Amino acid sequence: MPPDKKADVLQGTLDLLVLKTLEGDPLHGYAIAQRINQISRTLLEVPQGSLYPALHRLELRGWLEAEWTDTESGRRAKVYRLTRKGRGELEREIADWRRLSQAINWILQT
Amino acid sequence: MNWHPRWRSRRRRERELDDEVLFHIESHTKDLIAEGLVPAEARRRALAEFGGVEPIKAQIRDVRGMRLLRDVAGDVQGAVRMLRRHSGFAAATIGLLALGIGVNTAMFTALNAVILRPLPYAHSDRLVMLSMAPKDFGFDTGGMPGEVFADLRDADHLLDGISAFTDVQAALLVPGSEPTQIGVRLVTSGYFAVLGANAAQGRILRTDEDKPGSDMVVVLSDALWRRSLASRPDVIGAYVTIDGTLRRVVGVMPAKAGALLQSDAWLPMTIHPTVGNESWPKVIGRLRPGASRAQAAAELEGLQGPHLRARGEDPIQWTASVLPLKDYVVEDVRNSLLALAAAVGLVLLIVCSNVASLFMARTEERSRELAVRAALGAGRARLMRQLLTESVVVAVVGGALGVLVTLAATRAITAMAEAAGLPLLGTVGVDGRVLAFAAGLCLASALIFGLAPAWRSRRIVGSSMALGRTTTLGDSRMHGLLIVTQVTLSLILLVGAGLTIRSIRSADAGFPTFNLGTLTVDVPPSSYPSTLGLATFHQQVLTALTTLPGVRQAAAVNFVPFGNNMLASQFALDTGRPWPSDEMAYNLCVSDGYFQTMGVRIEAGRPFSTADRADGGKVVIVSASFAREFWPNELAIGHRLSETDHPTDRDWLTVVGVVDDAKQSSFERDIPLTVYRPLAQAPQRLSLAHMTFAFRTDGDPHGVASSLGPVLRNLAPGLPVPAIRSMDELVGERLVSAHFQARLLGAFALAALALTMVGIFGVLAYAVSRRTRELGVRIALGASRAQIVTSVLRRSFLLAMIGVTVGSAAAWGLATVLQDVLFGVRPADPLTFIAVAGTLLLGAMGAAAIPANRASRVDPVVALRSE
Repeated sequence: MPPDKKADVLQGTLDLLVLKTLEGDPLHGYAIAQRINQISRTLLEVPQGSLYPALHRLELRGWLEAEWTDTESGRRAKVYRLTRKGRGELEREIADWRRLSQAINWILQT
Repeated sequence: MNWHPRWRSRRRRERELDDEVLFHIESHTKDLIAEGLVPAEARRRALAEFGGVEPIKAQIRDVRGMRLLRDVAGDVQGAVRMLRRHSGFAAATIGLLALGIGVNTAMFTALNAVILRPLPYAHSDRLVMLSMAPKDFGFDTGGMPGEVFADLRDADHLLDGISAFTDVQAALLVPGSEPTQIGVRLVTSGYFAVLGANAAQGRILRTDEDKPGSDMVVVLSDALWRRSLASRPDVIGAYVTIDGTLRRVVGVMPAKAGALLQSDAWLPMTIHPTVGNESWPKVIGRLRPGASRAQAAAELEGLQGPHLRARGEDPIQWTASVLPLKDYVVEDVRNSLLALAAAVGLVLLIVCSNVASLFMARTEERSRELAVRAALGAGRARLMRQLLTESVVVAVVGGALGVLVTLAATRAITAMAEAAGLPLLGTVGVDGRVLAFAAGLCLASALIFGLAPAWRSRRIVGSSMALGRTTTLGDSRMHGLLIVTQVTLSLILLVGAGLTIRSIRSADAGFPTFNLGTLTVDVPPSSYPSTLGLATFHQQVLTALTTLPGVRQAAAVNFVPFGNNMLASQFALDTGRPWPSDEMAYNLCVSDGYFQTMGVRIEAGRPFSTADRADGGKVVIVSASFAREFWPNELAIGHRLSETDHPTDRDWLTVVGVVDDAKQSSFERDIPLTVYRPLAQAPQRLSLAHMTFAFRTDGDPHGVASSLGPVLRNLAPGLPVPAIRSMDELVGERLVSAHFQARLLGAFALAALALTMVGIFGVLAYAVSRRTRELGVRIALGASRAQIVTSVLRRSFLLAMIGVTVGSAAAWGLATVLQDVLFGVRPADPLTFIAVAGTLLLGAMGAAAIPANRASRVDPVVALRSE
């Protein structure tokens, strides 16, 4: 298994992207993947499956909660929703990210 | 309903995991179909974009801590996959383990049969052998006089049963066939009952059958029944003639009856409680439950006192011994079997260290993969467990194959041991204990070679960023240590085997053994009631032998060298010096012409002649060691010695000659002290009933057989014509267990050498492949091929040298253990050590040759680009 540089990038930022995606309505895993893909197709070409370990990890930390609901197609799907704790985490991560990208922007502009 | 809530919840979570993944893939497929793809292609794309389903699920399980069973199953699957991908590695490891475990278990099976349970009788731990002997006699299985036995039998409270026995040769005559010579054990009636053995047909001896008048019965062995009575079904109640007496067959013992039931036939023996019987029977007994050997010995000691005083002995000087019967049975083979077991253990250690280094090399090769998996979030414990699982899978498969090897090896060892006449008795089966032993070995080796790499994998995980190819100093130290260990262990084994083989090679009887035939004639007492008649008969046989075509010379001796019997005595010396209490001298009666026939050189004085008659001056010839020991620095000729403690003038025997030392009984523990007396002056009839004729021939001594038969039958009708045994055969029998040991040890040592070479090859080849880049740089910088080759060879040589040094020291210490079974060679035999060290160093160089050559052919361009 060759190391995937993009996977390394993902490792740090995937959590942030997932939390952000779930800021609005609750979504199932496929919808989250679709959303992330649409927004950042070029940046994050990672196997979509990599999303799931992250979802489960966030759920265990209490940032997400999940329940099984019936979809319009009649299939049961596991739907994730941001918790209050998760919302706080999202804000903290966004602030962190802003600070970091601000710093990088400064460096790049000088 | 909720019997197993944890199991149910785990199953539910597994199902949910499947559902979630499946939902994703199906939704994606549907969308792709909506975009215009055909369904099959849509599903393929969805799957591809999802990535590997199983790895993702495994990662989720990691996150959720859903471990235990699922993971173990996954680990095993992963291990099997890994082993299939690297089939060479798997085959090598599994093969090594199967051999190591198989051979070890087989050896344990043999040990189990010989040492742990050689007596296939009920409660055999309660079986003992009872003897009395002078203190400091160093011989505690000598039996006891008949009257002491009778007393013990009648008075005893500690034994459930007791029996005396003596082995003799006898002539068996079955109507309608030639007489044959058989080995008979004379036993008191309780013999079979003490052992707890029963007859296969008919019955064992009855209690009253060792009394005169009712003792005309015989119990046959299964082998004799088949051989001499053609397995006739109506054998019970039939009559056979043994030594001229008609006896009724009352029973036939089963085949493979056990260690103490190896005779051809058993005859009842009467023990007279009052008559002082000069030949002491051996005595076995069965202790009552709860009675100890010490108690029984104390009882015997109390009983023997009056009898000893009646014989004019001082009871203080005597001791009674009660030994486990097992010790008596396995006496001769225990040491060599333990040595072999140790040898096998060493081979297993080499196997384990070889497997360990294979695993280490594998782990290092995979360090990159492991580092990546660690980076992707696989837990450290998980990685370690997976490595351990791999070694356990290898161990289990190796162990299973090992059982197959065990079955084959057990059969081979049993066959070899039986050919060697070792007492592998009863059923040599692979039993529960042996299986437990194999399982234990299996687990232990899995731990040994599983832990080293697993422990190393922690470091790899710890420095998970080290994705590049690096060889740390620790790696090469560990590999070096393994090589040194293997060389050390091989050296010990090779020295052991070398010494044993050298010892057999240098086995020297002290006389030429080729073209020397022997013929042992046991004359039943009834045939020649007078000593004179017997002597005449012997003379007739001797004369007849000498005139046979192909025979150069012949002589008679009552106990031929390397025959089954030997008489040893203590003597009184004319110098007044007391005989050393712990020594004995062989005491033989020989005809004139004996030394010439045997080829034993006369060192001084004269050989016996026809002038040394019964009524002449009593003379002896002594061995050179005897003369040196008792009359040092002076001529032995003319000195006198005597068989009686307080000799009168008539009892003195005058030394007329000194002959070279010759081996009489065994190569390893022989006594060099021998006293020869002229046959005509033999002290008692007892020394003559058993007579061997030795004859020098022009060619194979067996060639004489055809012309000998009619002559003997003519001389003594009704006497079985004994088979001719060449001296080479007799000597061979003495060496057979040494040969057995040497052959097995040799095989193990060669296996160890081969394994060590494989190990060195593996480690060096691996090191070279790891150092490709470094070698490329050195070659690019102008190092010559010769320098590269030398550097690889030097490393191998240095490691081997350390192993040889450590091993030599260890072998030096261990070889003294072998002292008891070696002859003609010292344990610290320099030639063996030098040869073995040379072989190992050469082997190490040979094993290094291919990796060295490969190293010198590294293409710098390729090597540098490969990183």
